[in-house]
Amino acid sequence: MDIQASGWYPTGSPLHSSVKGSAEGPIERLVDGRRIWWARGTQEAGARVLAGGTGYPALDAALPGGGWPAAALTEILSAGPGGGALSLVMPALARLTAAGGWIGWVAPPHTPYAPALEAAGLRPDRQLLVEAADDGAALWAMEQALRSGGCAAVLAWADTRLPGAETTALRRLQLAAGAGGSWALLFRPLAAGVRPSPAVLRLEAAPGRVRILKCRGGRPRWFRLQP
Amino acid sequence: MTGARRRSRPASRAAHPPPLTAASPAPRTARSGETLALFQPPSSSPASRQPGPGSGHQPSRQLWVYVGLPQLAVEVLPADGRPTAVVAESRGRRSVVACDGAAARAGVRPGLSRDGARALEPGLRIVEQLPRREAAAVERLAHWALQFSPVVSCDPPEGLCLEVRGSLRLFGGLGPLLAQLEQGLRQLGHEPRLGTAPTATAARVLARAGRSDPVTGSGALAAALGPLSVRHLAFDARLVSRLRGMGLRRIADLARLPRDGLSRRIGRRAMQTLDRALGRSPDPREAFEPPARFRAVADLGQETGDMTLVEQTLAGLVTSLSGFLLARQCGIQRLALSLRHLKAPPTRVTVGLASPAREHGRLMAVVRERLARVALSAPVVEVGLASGPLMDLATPSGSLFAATVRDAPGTEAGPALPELVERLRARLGAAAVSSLRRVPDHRPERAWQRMEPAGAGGETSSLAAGQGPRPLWLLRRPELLTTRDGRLWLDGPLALEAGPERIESGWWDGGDVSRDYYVARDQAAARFWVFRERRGARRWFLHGIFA
Repeated sequence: MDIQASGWYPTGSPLHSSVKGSAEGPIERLVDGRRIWWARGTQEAGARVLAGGTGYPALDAALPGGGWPAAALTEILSAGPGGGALSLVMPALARLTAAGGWIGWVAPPHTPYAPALEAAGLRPDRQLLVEAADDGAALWAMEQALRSGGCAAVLAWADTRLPGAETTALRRLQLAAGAGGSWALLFRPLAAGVRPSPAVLRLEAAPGRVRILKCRGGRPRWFRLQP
Repeated sequence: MTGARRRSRPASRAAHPPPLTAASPAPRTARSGETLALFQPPSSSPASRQPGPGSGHQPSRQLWVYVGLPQLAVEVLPADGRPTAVVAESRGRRSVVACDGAAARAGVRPGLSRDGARALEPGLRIVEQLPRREAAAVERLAHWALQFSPVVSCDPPEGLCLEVRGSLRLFGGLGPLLAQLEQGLRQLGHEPRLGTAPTATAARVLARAGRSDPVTGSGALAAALGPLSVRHLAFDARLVSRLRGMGLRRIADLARLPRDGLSRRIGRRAMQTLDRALGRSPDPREAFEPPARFRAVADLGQETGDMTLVEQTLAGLVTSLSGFLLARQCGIQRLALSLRHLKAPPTRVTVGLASPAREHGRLMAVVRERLARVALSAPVVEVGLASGPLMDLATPSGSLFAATVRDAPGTEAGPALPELVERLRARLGAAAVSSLRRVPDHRPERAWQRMEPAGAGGETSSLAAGQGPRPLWLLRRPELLTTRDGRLWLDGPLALEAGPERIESGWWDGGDVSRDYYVARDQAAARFWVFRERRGARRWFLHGIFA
C-alpha cells in the first residue's frame, strides 16, 4: 500500500498509466486508502487503469480513467458465450499478451480456439487454461491466480448464484486482484445483474452494444461500440 | 685396450636381488584372539629395505577384493537366446571384446576379428559395445556392493573393488564374505571373477588371472604375483609383446630388474602400475559416493486423524529439508510423503513441483494443497518425508538496495507462474492446467492442441492466410442443429451470413472431413459458426460461437 501511495510508476510500463498528484496530502491519503471516493474526475484520485484504453473510443470516454480498472474486479454480464462479452476485452488482452503477460482462463464454457486467438492478436502460448470441476474450485483457482501475480489478467465464468456467501466471495476476488496487481474479469449471466456486487466496474454486454451498470463516477447508459 | 670397462651393475645388487617385500615395520606379534589368521608377521629385516619410491611407505593393513566382470559387455544386453559377441573398434578394425558362453563354445574369443567370429558361428548376434550402459551397470553394482563395505571404488568398464578389512568380523570371515559376494553377483546375472589382495591393483591382477585364492599378507603378495603373466597387469598389448621379446614373461621377472632401467624401458605409467601391484607405492582409489537424499521421520506421539497436526509436523520436517537443501545449494522437484498407520499399510503421497525449489514457503504450499486431497483411511501415527533426487539450484543474489518499484505483474513468467501452475495442479490435478498451441491442420478440431505452460511455442504457418473467420469459442463436439420451416433453428431462427468455406481434409489418418462452413446470426445478433456435411446425411452442425 505504501508503494502505491507514493504514486511513482516507471513510465512506459505497459500496465500502469502514470498517476498524477504525488503530493501526500491528507485528502490523497484518504482517497488512496479508499475511505472517500471521488464522485467525478477519478483519474486524479489515483485510480489505476490499464494503459492503452479499452480499444473502443466511446467506452474509453465513459469509463473513469479512460480504461479498464487495474488490479480490481470487473464484472461483465451477457446473455451467453456469444453475447459479445469477450470481444469487448479482446483489444486489451491482446495488448497484455503482446507485452509478454499471461492470461488465465478459469473454467471457460468452451475451449478458446487457438487459431482465432492468434488472429485476434493473443499469443496462444501465453494463455493458461484451468479447468475446474465446480464453481467452488473455479473461484479458488481464480483467487490463487490473481494473488500470485503470475497472470496479467484472469478471466473466469460463473453462474448467477455463487457458492457460499456471494459478496464475500466477490470481495475476496477483489482483494486478491489488488494484492497481486492482476486484472480480474468475471463473466456472469444477465440475471446476476440484480444482485449487488463489490466489483469496481460492472458492464452489461450485447453484440455491438454495451451498458455500464456500475462504475466509479459514471452513469448507467447504453452505447454502441465501434472499435 | 684399457679404459672401456663394461659398466656393470653394482655387485651388491646383482648378488643379492632386493627382496620384493616393501619396507617393513618391525616385526609384531600376531594379535592373539583375532578370529582370522590373516596376517603373518613380515619376515624380512629392515636392513634389506629396498630403496623404492617413497621408501618410507608402509603398506596399510588393507584387504581389497576386486570384482572383475569380464563379460560385462554381454551381460548388459538383453538376453536373446542366440550366441552373442560384442565388438568394438580397435586399431582400425572391429574385433570381439566379449562373448557369452554359447559363442565361446563355438570358438569365439576376445581379440578375434568380427568376420572371423561370424565365420566360426554363422548364427552369431554381433552387437556394438555400449560403454555408457556398462558404466551405469558398474555404478548400480557399486550401490549394491555398499552392503559389503563402505569403501567401494568403481573401475569401469572392468569392475569394481571393495576394501573389506573392516567388514570381516561382520560377515564372519573372508570366506563367507567372498561366497556371499559371488552368489549375489550371480543372482544379479553377472559372471564374476574375484581377486583378494592387500592392494587394489594386485587384487585386479589376481582377478584377471583367475586366481581366486585370497592373498592376505603383504609378505605373500610377491610370491602370489610372481608366476603370473605380465599381460595381467593390464599393459598395452604392444608393451607386452616388447617385454616378451626381452624375455620378460612373468611379473617376477619384472620385479627382479633394477628400477631405473626398467622404468626407462616400459614408461612411467607402467612402472607405477607395477609398483602399486607389488605394494611398493600407495594405491589410492576414489571412493564411490551415492548421491545424497533426504529422509526424515517424525513420530506424532499418538494416533490422530487431525490433518492440521499432521501438517504442522510435516512443516517441521520441511524446514529441516530446506535447510539440508540450502547447505548443498540444491533443490528438489519431487517429494514423497508417507503417512503410517498402526494397522493399515502406509499411505504414500507424491508431490511434484513445476521447477526445482527449496524455499520452505513454496514446498509447504504445495504439500498443503496435496494433503487437502488425501482421504485418510486410518489414524496417522507417524509421518515420513523423503526427497527426490537433488538438483543444482543456484541462489539468486539479493539486491543491495530494497526494491522501490513494484514490477508489473505477469510480464515475465518469473517464479510466480510456475508456482501458480504447481499449486493449481496440486489441487485440481495435473491435467487441469495447460496452455494452448496452434497446429497447422485444416480440420478445425485439430488445429489446436494443449501444451505445457511456458513450453516452446507452436509453429506459425502460412495456413492462416486465406482462411475465413474463426470463432473464439470452439465446441468440444459439433452439435446437431435442427431445422424448422426450412430454416436452421438454435433457440430461434438462424440466418446464414457468410460462407461457404469448404474444408476437406484428413483422408490419410482416418479423420476424414468434408464440410461447408458458414457464419450464422440469430435474432439476438449473436454469431455462430455452423457447417453442413457434404457427404452422407448432409446434416447441419454447430461448431463454434463468435464472441
